[in-house]
Amino acid sequence: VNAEYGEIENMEVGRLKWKDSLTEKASGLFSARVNLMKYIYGATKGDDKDQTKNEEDDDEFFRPKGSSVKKENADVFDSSKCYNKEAALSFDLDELLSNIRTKFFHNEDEPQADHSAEDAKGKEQK
Amino acid sequence: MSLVRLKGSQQFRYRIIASILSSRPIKIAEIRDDEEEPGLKDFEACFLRMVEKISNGCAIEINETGTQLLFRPGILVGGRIGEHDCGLTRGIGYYMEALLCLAPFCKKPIEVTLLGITNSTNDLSVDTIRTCSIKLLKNFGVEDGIEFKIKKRGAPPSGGGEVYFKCPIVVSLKPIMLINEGKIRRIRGLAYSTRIAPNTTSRIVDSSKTILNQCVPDVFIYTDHYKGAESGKSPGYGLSLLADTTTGCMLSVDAAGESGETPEDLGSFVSRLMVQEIAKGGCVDTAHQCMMLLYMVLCPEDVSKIRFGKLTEYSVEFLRLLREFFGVTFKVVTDPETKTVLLTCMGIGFKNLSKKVA
Repeated sequence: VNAEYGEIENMEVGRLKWKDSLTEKASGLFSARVNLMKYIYGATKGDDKDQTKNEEDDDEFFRPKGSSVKKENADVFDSSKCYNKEAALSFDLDELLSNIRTKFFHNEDEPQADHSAEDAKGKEQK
Repeated sequence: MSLVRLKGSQQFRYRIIASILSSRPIKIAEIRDDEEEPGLKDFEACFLRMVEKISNGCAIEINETGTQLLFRPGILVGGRIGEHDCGLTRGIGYYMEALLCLAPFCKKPIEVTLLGITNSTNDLSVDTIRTCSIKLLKNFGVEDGIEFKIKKRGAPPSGGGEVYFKCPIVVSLKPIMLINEGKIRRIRGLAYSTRIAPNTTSRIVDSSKTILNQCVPDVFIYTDHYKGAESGKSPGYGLSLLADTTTGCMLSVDAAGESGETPEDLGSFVSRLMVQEIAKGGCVDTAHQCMMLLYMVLCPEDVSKIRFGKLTEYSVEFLRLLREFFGVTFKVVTDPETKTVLLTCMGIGFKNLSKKVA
């Protein structure tokens, strides 16, 4: 993960100071990006805005269509399956598989936890 | 109860479902008003007809162009409603998803035969519903007497499929705590073909296994070739996969072969979807997020908690819908370590008063 952020931050070449606060920056970016509550429900209630809009509408008979409150994705296709075929066919399978090795259960995992990691590695090489 | 005003055709089914369960009338305006063919589509009208069949006293008003709909919910009665023709635009899964959300809250156990397309890439396939969706309801206490049978296959475009669904009714649900996803233990699947060379299924299985065996050794894909009356009206093939975890969670994916797609293409496409789904993590796959969220809201007044891999855009919109209709706000927290999302909510204590307590 650090390497990815590094590439973005490393636009000014030559200084290594940026490396000092790298983890903080990364965690800052991450937490800023994933405030899901705010993303889903919005920071404030939208009701107030709508009311003021309606008042303005009274003055103007004709209003351009763009000002309508209808959201862009209001007619989005109704399906709970959200497969992205292009993405599914284009990702690097080997890379993804090596990243998610720990998500799979191996029989050897249970009895001796210490050896499990080695066994898994051995399998990969084969 | 107060009228809820909405716009656009998005989440049409779930809006109607939420309206029925919260007994609040809705008015949807601007349904595809910018498009070449404005208004409700045939499958949405067909869906409303199905809702009419299972409920009593609901009123539906549609304007001339079909861009506005006023829906006043009635009482869910259920019972034996015979056959419902699902049309050929959407798969049976489109209707079944909604039935799964409504059936346990009817007056009488629902018994219905759905006719149409059993497998399509746009909607949940009947295999996924049988192996995964129905099992997920067990978490909430909907299990005794639930039946789902695939009698005939029907591939697009001409369909001809037939499924039978029977669902018990419940007084109230059980809150859930699905936060430990465990590890993927095995993958099961079903490759089917109708009116096409029988070796198609084995070609799907071969290409699928080359990918899946790199993850887990325990992969088994059943093959099913349909002949004669059971095979519907069009040739077709499809694959559905289900991954079981050590904690009993399930992840499912499925797709049907489209024109120009070889069986090998389909096998690798669905398998890659499976790998992606596993990579996302979570206790439920992306296609079942909304159903789980709705049931969590309807639970007794207790905390329900679930772990999702990645919240889909569809589910985000659905969370807003749930707040509008039921006043339930979920607590959504990301788990940076596993890159999963934890959702917590307090149920509204929905009760099905028509079930007699023995």
